[in-house]
Order: sequence, then structure tokens, then C-alpha cells
Amino acid sequence: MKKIVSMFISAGLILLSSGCAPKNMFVLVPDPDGNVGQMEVATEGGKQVLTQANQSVQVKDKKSPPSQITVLSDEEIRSAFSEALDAQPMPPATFILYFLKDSNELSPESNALLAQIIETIEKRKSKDIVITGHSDTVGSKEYNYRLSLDRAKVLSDILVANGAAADYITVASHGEGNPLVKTEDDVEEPKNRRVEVVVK
Amino acid sequence: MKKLFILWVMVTILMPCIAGAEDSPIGKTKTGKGEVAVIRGGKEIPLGVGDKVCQNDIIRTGETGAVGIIFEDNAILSLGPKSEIRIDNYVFAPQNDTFSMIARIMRGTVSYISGIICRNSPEAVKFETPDATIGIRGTQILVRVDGK
Repeated sequence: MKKIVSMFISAGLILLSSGCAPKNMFVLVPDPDGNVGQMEVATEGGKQVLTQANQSVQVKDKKSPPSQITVLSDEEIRSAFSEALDAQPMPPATFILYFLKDSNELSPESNALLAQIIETIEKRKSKDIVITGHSDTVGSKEYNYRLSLDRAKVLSDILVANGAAADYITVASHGEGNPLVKTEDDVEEPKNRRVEVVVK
Repeated sequence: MKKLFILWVMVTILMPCIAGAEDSPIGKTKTGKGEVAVIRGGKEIPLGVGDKVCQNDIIRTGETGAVGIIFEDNAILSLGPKSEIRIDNYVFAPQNDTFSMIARIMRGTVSYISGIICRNSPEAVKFETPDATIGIRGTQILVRVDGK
């Protein structure tokens, strides 16, 4: 009996939701690492800010404000977005490597990562590997751009020597512009003096 | 004749991104099925897995199409069937502290997982739909726009 009732309820819900399907639907979901951010949805009529997992709003037209916030179940999200979610590429794998101070030599810990990087490239059959050099904020922007680029190039050579295909590697420099730890200018920060290898 | 051939080779090599786009690729497709196309410089070109995506591209999926893209800043975008999105402005230049990701979702279903641009400069990421604008501070959002 209970089953029949719940069947009726879900059938009713399906009818209801398909009967007045919203024109626009916006959902905030946890990313593959489980982090939930924030989304603001605005029309000419007003706005809503979503801050919790699976919160959703609908928009009827550009003049009306977005609907009240509702929380969707995983099933509801899945049924509305299954194909887009299934097409989502595997997130890129990122490796962070450090150099010994004032040198182009990798730290022992980072040296140990090389085998893992090569293995990941092979496992994913990746043809898209980006090596980016980063610095802390000590010194001029231009100097740090060069320094970061040099280190990225060194790492590219090391990876190629270890078996990665040079044709699939792009080398870049972000200088001091993309720190892991935000600091003021002219601050020594070992965590920011790094090279990132992203296997996409 | 030789000159003409060299010109042809140059045009073919440069073509993938030159029409309508200011510069280099901004991402690559990583997954795809069914009908997926890009409208670049007024021409519709099929978009396969591993192909480049450029600024001003309109990416369109057909009845059974779906596509997944990873951008230069590691942001991940995927589209379900009968979807269309235009990348209006994409700038990823951390060395100059300049970031921008502005796109217009015309119709369909879209998933977006933000990347380095949003981490450094959340206000630089904006999506528009025919009726609404979206600002995000990370990380994953889903948008559905029913076409008219």
C-alpha cells in the first residue's frame, strides 16, 4: 500500500515537473574533490546567491526575479544533466615540483615524482602536458617570468629524458602571477617557487 | 606555383584558429560523441576529440551529441545534447595578472568546473543566458537553458 502511494506521489511529481518545466535552471554542485563554491544568478528583476551543495534556482524570463532557492536530490540533478555530466573529462592530474634553492636541480622529493608523472602520462595516453614555472614575489615581475620559464624548460628536458614525448609538452611561465600562497610583493615563499606539471 | 603551394600550406596550418579569433587556442576537446561542431569565422566545422577550441568559437551539439573541453586554466566545460555556447572572451595570462572567462549559453545543458582563472580572479568569470547572468566563486555549476 505504502509503495502504491509513493508511486502515485512520484508520478504526480514527474507530471508536475514536466508540466511546468522551467525555462532556465541553475544548480550549484560539489566538484569532483567535494568542494562547493558559490553562484550568483541575476536577472533584471533581482538575484539569488547559491552557497550550498545542490541548491538550485529557476528563471522564468528576464524581467522576473529568480525563483526561491530549492535543494535538489542527486537523482533530480542526474536526470536533468546526465549527458553533460557523462561528457565531463577526467580532471587533469597536477604534480608540483620544487627545485633546490638557486639551482636547476630538483629536490630529492620532487625527483621521486618523475616516475609517477611518466606513469600518469602513459596511463591516460595524454597528448597534452603543460609544464608551468612559478616564482615567489622576490625580484621584479620580468625577472621572475624568466626564472620560472627557465625552470619549466629544465623540467621539460628532464621529463623528455625520462621518456615523455616532447611533441606533447607545452612549456609556460606564470612568473609571480599565480601563487599557491598569496603574499605581498617581495616576500620569500618556498611554496610559490615551483613548477607544475599538468597532465590533461 | 611553388609560392601558391607554400601559401596554401601556411593557410592550412594557420586555419584551425585564425578565422575570427585573435590568437592561439584556449582549450582542447577531451571527450565527444554524436554530432559536435564549432562555428568559427562563419563556417561550421566538425569538432573531434583532441581538437583545439578558440576565442569566439560557437560550440554546438546535435540531437545525440555531447562534448567535454579542458581550458588552458584547467577549467572543465561539458555540454549535453542540443546545446550551444559561445566563448566571448577568454584571457589566461597570470604573468600579467589578466584573466577573463565570459561565455554565453544559448541553449542546452552545461556543466562547468572552474579553474585557475576563478581561483585568482573570481569576478573575471561570467556566464550569460538569454534571460540571466551568472557570477561564480568556484567551483562546479550546472545550467540548463530551454531553447525557444
